[in-house]
Formats: sequence, C-alpha cells, structure tokens
Amino acid sequence: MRSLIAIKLIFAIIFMFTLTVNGQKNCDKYVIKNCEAFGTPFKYSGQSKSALFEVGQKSILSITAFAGFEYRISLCAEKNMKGIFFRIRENDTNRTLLYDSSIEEEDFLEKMFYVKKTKDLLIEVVVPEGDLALDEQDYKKRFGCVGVLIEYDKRSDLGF
Amino acid sequence: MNHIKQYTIMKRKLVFIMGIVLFQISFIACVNDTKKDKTQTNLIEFEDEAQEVDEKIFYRFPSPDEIFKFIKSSDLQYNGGSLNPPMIFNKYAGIKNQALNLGIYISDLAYITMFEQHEASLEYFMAIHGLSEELKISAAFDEPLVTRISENIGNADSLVVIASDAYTKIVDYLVEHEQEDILALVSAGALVESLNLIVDYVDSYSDDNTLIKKLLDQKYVVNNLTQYVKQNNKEIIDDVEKLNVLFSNLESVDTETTVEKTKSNKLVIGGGSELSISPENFEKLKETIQSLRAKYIKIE
Repeated sequence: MRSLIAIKLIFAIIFMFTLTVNGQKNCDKYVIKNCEAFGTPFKYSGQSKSALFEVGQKSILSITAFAGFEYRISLCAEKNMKGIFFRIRENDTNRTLLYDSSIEEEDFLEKMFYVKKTKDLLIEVVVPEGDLALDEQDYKKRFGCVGVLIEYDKRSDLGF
Repeated sequence: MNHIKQYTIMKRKLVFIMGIVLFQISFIACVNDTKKDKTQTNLIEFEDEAQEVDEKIFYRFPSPDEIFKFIKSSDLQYNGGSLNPPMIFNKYAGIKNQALNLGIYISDLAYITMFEQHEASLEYFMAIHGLSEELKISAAFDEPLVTRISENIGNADSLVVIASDAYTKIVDYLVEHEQEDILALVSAGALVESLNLIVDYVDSYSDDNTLIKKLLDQKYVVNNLTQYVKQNNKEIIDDVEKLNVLFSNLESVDTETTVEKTKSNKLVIGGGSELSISPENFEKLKETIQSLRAKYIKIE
C-alpha cells in the first residue's frame, strides 16, 4: 500500500515538473487570449505578436502603418513583467524616437495613432530589469509572456 | 512465492520510475542550461545596448484583408477572373507549392469576402482547408472550417470574420509549431497574389493613379517579408529579393517626420516619403509580379 502511494507521489512530482518547465515556455496565442481589444470598429491586425520575455529584455517589431488607417497598439503581459513599456521609432538609420509610453502618466500600455504617409515603424518593447539584480531574482519570475496587440480601422475623420 | 513475485514486480516498477525521474531531471537540467545560455545572451544584448549590438527584430506584415481594405475604393469592381481557380487545389504537389498556393487562396478569399461574393467563397474555403490538410496543419482550425462556413454562408459579416480568422489561425499554428519556414512560403504566396490582384486593375500607367500609389506603399510590406524570408526560408529568397529591389529603387521625395497630438491624445505622425515610379519601371514591376504569380500557380 505504502509503495503504491509512493509511486503515485513520484508520478505527481514528474507531472508537476513537466508542467512547470513547459508552461513557462508557452506564450502561444497570448495576445489573443489576454490582451483586451478595443473592438468594433477596430479590427485585429495580423501584425500583432506574442512572445516570451525575460526581465531586462528589449525586442523590436517592424510593422507597416498605412496612411488612411488609424491604429491602436496595446501591450499586455504577465504580472512579473513589471514596468513594461513601449516606444515607437522611425525605421531610419538613427531610429528616431516618435513616442515613448513610459513618460505617460496614465494609459501607458496603449496608444492610438495614425500616419499621414504610409510608413515602416519599429515598435520597441522593453521590460525593465527592476531593483533586484538578475542573479537574486527567482529564476521563474524572470520570464513571462508579453502580447503586442495591433488593431486598425479606416480613419474616421476622413471624407464626409 | 506469491509475495516474492509481487516484490519482483514492484522492484521492476521502481527501477522503471527511477529511470523516468533521472531522465526528467537531466531533461530539466538541459532546459535550464539552455535558458541560462539564453539569459546570458539577453544580458549581453541589454548591457551592450550602447554598443549597438544586433538585436532580434520580428518582421510583421499586414494580412491580405488589411491590404485589400487599404486599396479598396468605391470605383473598384470585382474581378473574379484574376483569381486562382479553387478546384485545382489538389493538383499542387510538394510542400513548397502547396504552401505558396495556400497563401494565394487565402488572399483570393480575402478579396472575395471584401467584395461580398459569398457564393464563390465556399470553394475557396474548401481549397484552403484541403491544402491545410495536405500540409498537415488543418488542426489550426478548432472546429471543422467547412461546417462553420456552411452554417454562415448567408451571413456576410460572419464570412469576413471567418476568412480573416482562417489566416490568423494558420499563422498562429505555424508559429506555435515552429514551422515558420512554411509560414514564409504562405506569406509570400499571399503577398504576391495581393500585389497581382492590384496590378491587374491597372491597364495603363498614369502618375495620378491612386491604385498605383497604394501599390507603391506596399514597398514596406515587401521589405518586411523579404527580411522574414531571409530569417526563415531561403528557398524563395531570390523571388522576394527581385521584388524588393524593384520597390527599393522607387523614387521618393522625403519630408521630415513630425509628431503631434490631437485633442483626444491621438498621435499624428506626419512627414515621410512620397513614392513615385516611372512608366518603364512600373511595367517592369507589373511584369515581375505577374511572372512570379504565374510561376507559383503553375501545376508541375
């Protein structure tokens, strides 16, 4: 009887280990499942992206913004991705900064914008390192899912 | 005797379980090692930010329905003759041809639904589903696609959503299953078909043609696709490079970028490039798009 309990316990531990390791890596469809969409009249853009981030990491999305469309960019992330913010940069040699969400006092995880001429833009997503040195942080807490939701609509202030 | 037998079985079970535990521990150790390496790489990337170390850039491009919404205007008429016939989908053999034509059919479907030609849409859905099955990616659709379509065949809005969903689900599935080499082919097929449908509307060049201007704006999409293909599938790099070179050589008048905010705190990004093309280069571009498309839809 004792052996049976021991076997069950071992299996439970194996199962938990597997879940922890795999679960940490799985950010698939995070943006669809977790980011709050503005919804109608905005539509989901195929330029949206989910990814696994590590504290202190910066990643860049290169997107096309069409003239005549209005866009909404919003970020969503797991709780441990504290202080996450984004910047919009021009895709030129200097990567000219056009917008920095970290300086906003509110709504720093979303922004609506439009371009007067079709442009290639860089969306730079940053998860700051935080106060603790990376070595001191709980290993698992250093990783988390991030979603960049991009929605679009025809500009409402055009035409009649 | 019976006790000895039970003891032996139990002993074997324990040895087996210990084996699994050891395997799991070594597996976890490997994963952690990989992650530690990754952590170190990320740290280096972040610390060396000032030193302009190469960063990972994710290249994204609009879905075909976004491109068609961008080009659509009230004077554009439906041109079903330009589409790839859906009944020949099962004639495409090999992963490359199947994936390219999956993209082509996805683009055709986006075009059809934009013009609300719903009676034609079912066959295109069938072709998309058929090629997805051939490529073993039909699990991308959580419920049978054809059932969902037949239930909504009279509902224009639902069909538009289903068509757009089909593309998103295929993209997500391929990324999730680390098949971005196939996604590069699907995306290239979809973009070439979208460009082909646009140029089919332009019989002769004129410098004030709105459609040509919108075609030129695809320069940025083509560039992002080229970078994505470079990262994920070298098989078609020559094709997309050929297109990218033509778009990169467009003439442009650049004005300085400006940033303003509206009263509702919306960001307005002004300035940028006014793109133009000579009649000769337009013909060259049109010819390249059409020949790539002809190459992709050809049944071997």
